[in-house]
Amino acid sequence: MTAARSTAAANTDDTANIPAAASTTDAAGTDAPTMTGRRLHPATEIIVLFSGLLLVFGIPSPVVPAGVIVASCCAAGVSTTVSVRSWAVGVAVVCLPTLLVLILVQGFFYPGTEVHVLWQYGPAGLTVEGLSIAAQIWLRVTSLVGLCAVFGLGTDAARLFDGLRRLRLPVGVAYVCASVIGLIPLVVARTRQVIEARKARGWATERWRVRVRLLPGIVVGLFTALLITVEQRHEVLEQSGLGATGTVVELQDHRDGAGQALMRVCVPVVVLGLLGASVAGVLPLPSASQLIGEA
Amino acid sequence: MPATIVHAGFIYTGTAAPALEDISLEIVPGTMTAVLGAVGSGTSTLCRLLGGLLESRGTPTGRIETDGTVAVLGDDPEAQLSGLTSHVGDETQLACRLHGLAPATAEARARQALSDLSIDGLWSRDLDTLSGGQRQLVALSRIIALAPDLLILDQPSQSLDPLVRRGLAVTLRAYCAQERSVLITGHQVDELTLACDEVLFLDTGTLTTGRETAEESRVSDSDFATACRAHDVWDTRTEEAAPQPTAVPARAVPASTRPTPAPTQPAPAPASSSPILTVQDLNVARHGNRILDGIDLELHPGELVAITGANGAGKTTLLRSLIGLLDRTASCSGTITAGRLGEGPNLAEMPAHARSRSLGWVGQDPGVQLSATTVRGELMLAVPLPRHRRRDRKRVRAQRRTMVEGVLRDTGLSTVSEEHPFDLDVPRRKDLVIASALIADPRVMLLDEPTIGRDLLGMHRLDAVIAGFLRRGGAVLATTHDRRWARESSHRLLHLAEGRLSRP
Repeated sequence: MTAARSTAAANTDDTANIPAAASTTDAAGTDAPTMTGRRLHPATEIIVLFSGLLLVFGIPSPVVPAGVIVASCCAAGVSTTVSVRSWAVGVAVVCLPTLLVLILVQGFFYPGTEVHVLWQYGPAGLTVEGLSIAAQIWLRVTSLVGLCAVFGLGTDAARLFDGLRRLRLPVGVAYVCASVIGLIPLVVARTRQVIEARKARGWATERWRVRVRLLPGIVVGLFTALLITVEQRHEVLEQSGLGATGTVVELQDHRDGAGQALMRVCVPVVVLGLLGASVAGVLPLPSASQLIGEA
Repeated sequence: MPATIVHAGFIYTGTAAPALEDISLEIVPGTMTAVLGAVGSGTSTLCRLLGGLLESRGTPTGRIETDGTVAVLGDDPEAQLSGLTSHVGDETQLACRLHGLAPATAEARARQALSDLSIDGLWSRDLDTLSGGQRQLVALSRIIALAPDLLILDQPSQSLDPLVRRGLAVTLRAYCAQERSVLITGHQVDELTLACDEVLFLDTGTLTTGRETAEESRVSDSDFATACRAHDVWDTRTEEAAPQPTAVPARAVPASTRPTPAPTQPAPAPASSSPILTVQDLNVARHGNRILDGIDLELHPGELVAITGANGAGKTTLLRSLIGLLDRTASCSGTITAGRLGEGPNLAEMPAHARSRSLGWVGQDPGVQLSATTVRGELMLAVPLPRHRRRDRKRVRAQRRTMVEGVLRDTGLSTVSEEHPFDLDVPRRKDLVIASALIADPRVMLLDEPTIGRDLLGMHRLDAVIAGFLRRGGAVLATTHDRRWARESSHRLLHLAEGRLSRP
């Protein structure tokens, strides 16, 4: 066919003018969309994610969530798709306010009667038991957020779809889950665009007071836009053949093999074994109150 | 025969009037057909009906037979991407993979489709970094990769510059040469339409019996232009290419919805030595690439300046840099003064909200600039109320209501004031964004692609709004791919290429 003039270097929006030549291949000279690199298959990642969360919430020791947080941080560090900075900022934004609230509510106002008071002023008393519960909850929440952030920041909707389909979830369920993760960047972009539009009309949107005032209108508009977009995207996917074949199709190329298949079976088994050991009391891990009491 | 439509019609659920009525059409293999009509004439409904996308939306009548595969590309580039992928390569392969093609075959087809559209350089690009035109082409490549027998394109060229449109026309002709067919619908005559074997007109849901083929139109340009005008289709060809008809047939359109046609030549800009916007040495760079390179520009009261340029030349970036909406990855330098150089404060040093007192910005995609539930609500909340004491609040709000009524009237939106902005067609949505900019009463309006998707009436409406603003002493800086509108409506035409402005 005769070619239309290239618009490769062309852009008209605010994110425009990234040279096409530079973006055609990544630094390693590999085409990005089909690149698998050292990454696990998304199905394996999902198994690891849920196994990690099962460990965190199944074993009542702060050592486990602390270990998961460190592992998540390391994973973000070695990942080529997740930057440590965005991972850390995301985790901090969610977890630091949570820590403050937990210390205030659990640490200073623990409702139990048999407590070890470390410091007291009026009705507020800092107790070992309160602090241990606060620490345990916070570590669990932080490990949950940290683990999900590593997975979420490095996964697009197609990758999640492939992972869920490999795990034999029905195409409808996989599509809904993938759509939800695909909506996150859409929400961010739409919010930015609406705020920009307001800014261009004289609203000083850098002030929180103004943002709060505009919030109801923005949220309603955003919700409507999201509903429309979800419907449009579903239509596009239906036209593109979503569910057209009964077989499992992968939207991207992923590295997989017998090792990973074995991993997908072994990791849950090991986790269930650890949980069983914990319930049976044969897992010698210290509790939060033990750690704080010793300190 | 890819598609045969016999006495087909369609009535949307909850409406009494049919959106389409008694449509008969045969789409022959190897042909490219265009169906043009005014906004609301049913062109998009026809696309969706043929593509089988309206089954749950209403009641079809008549007979529609399609032989082979059919694929539809909708009119909104933002809505044509699946949302399931992040990169161009993945998006282009998507349909092939979902249809069960082997990964290697899917990739080969996707690369070929991108190559056919000459956008193979985009393969690894993040979809979020693409312009509207590029998104449209990527969505098209996803469809072409599947090689459907009938390709239905609703306003495929609205975000593309003329050169890309010509290239796309050639590509689609080659596609048809493989015994496949293409149906194009829209509200404007452009390079794609003129490449079609047959051009039909749709008038309030009915396909006109009189047909104009592209071949005939070349023989009789004047008749073709007359037919376009008769069906309220905007002809983007310049006067040399599309002679004005000697007589324009009168049509039954309510006076309230048909603004006074704009004059062919704009009223001369009042002679003034005092500019109301001066831009000097404006530079914008991103990721080490210089996008705007020493832009110098003056706008005078009553003046409309149009800027043309290829997709990606930096037109949108220029407008966004003037209003102060560039993202953090862009670095911007230069002087922007609301008045003569050195007379006023440098707007470039102000935040966007402070610049809005002088500049009214209307972005390319109107949908993302609207957030209220009614047209009137959008305008009431468009701009912060001026500072006032609590006891004066009623008076200030009453003033705002009066102002909103005036703007609704001026922009022809009074009749739809209680409708949801997303229920309006795209040109009307754009009108609403223009109206919201007018509420701020700026001295200069920055319009990004104001002509996209407009039919003849929409163009007249736009011209009327701009004329009113210019009469009040304002100035307009507009970017556009519509060379005819740029030539006929603007007082000055500039071309942006390689970061610099020049006379074309």
